[in-house]
Amino acid sequence: MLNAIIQGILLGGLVVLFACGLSLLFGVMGVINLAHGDIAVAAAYVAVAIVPVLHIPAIWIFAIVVPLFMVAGYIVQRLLIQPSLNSGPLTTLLVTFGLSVIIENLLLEIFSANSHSLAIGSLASSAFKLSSQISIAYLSLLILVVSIVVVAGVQLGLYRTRTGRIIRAVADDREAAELIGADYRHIFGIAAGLAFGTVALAGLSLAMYSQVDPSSGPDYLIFGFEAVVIGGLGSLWGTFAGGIVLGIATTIGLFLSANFGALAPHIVFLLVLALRPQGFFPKKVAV
Amino acid sequence: MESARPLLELKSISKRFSGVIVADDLSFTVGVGESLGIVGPNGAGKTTLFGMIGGDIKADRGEVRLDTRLLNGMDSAERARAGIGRTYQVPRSFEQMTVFENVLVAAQHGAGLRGRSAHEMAQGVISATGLQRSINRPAGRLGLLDRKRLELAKALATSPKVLLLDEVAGGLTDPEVDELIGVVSESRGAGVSIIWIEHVVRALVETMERLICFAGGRIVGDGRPLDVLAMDAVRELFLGSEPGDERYLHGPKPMTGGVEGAKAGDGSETEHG
Repeated sequence: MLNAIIQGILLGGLVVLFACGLSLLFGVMGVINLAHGDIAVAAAYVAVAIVPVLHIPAIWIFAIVVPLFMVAGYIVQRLLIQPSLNSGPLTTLLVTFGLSVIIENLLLEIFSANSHSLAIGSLASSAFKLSSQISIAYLSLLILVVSIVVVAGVQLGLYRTRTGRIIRAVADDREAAELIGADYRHIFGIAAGLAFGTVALAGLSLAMYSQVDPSSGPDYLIFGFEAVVIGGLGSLWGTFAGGIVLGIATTIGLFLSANFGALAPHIVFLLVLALRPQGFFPKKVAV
Repeated sequence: MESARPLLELKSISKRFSGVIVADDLSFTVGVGESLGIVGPNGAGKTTLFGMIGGDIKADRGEVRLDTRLLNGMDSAERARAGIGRTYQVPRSFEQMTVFENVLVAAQHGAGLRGRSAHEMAQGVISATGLQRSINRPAGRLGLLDRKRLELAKALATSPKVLLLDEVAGGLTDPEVDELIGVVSESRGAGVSIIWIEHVVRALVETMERLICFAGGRIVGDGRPLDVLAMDAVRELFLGSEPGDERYLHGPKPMTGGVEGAKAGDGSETEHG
């Protein structure tokens, strides 16, 4: 049981990476990005495609793919999401849903329906033992640490940096931000860049941890979304807590019965939604 | 009344909203360092005028220039960076951020300052507007006077060439108005041109060197404040003011019968024309 909880916390790190960008985009722009999971999968496939070409160790791929997706995020925001923002929340849902369908089918077309993973050599399988019962995989631990660093970094950046402060200002009142000379569209682009960067990180981590296939995006979207809601909308540390809770629910579910693992986190989500719909750490305004 | 060099120029500005004329071939200029008060009845288009200078409302016709630079086609963020500072009737601060952060983002993005100079600018403006003791409070928890101060501080932090004040004195008590007048006068001393829309006429008479009375999209009077208030056409707008009657100079309370008095009394936050 203790092992299940520890493994759950480790798995939660991955969920947090997925949810972080979703939380950020919702917090800043009020946009629910339905393509979020597909973007993670796309990042994994980009890595799968370029690793053999560049002949570099898979771990270096982060330095290429994450910045690439940050730029892509900025562009997607400015060209696709921004024009839909003024027509109401339904339009942004439709646009991101369309993006999701397009990404999924492009991946199917280019890479077929086979699943892929990123080979990272011995790191993928090496682990250390805490006790005779509990062993901790280095990769899982690394992902958890990265998720903590990402959430803490984004949070710190939002409160301590020039760009972070204006992101919070725009999230608060975009017209008032314009009055003091900030171009909110540019700021939204930066926020989207951050969100895409973190979800690319999630996608790469996932491809190292297990396997991805073109149609798996929506599953991760659901997980990320549940983490955001459990934690309370607009709160990054809340999202972190939500991710960990979902991770633990999954592994405890698996511990109880092999079939229950996939269902347990969704049941926890429904329970939270029924008993505490505002989440654990709700915030009045975003970020 | 205008100083030699025009800073803000409005040329033949026209604007109508579904048939209602809010600006009718309107032209005037404001000089460098000049202070201009604007009065007029509700719905005269005063706030719309600010909207057209500030960039969130498009004029149907005409030009707006700042320092000879054409502002037409620039959005409000660009105009803010170009030197138009603006406060709103209903203060719009970033509620979750502290007072310091509110002013800091204005210094960074409006004035384009970085690093230490942005911090110093923010600190200076906060001291000047009397917000020092609330510097680390979230803006959402300020009282009305402090919200108005913060609105002013944010506008000042963008280091504007022209400051557009929309009813900053509305809803304040007399001593509070005095405090605010002090702050505005200080920023004038720093060479900033000011256009101030206000129902509290006393505030304008005490601080502004020029007054425009604006009604039906036209300028009805333009000159030294006391001269303008003495004009027949202007007095006609403020019903109930007999020739020689200067009650409206002393704030809204004694002027229950006048248009201006009624407005100042019944909530200046309602006007959006």
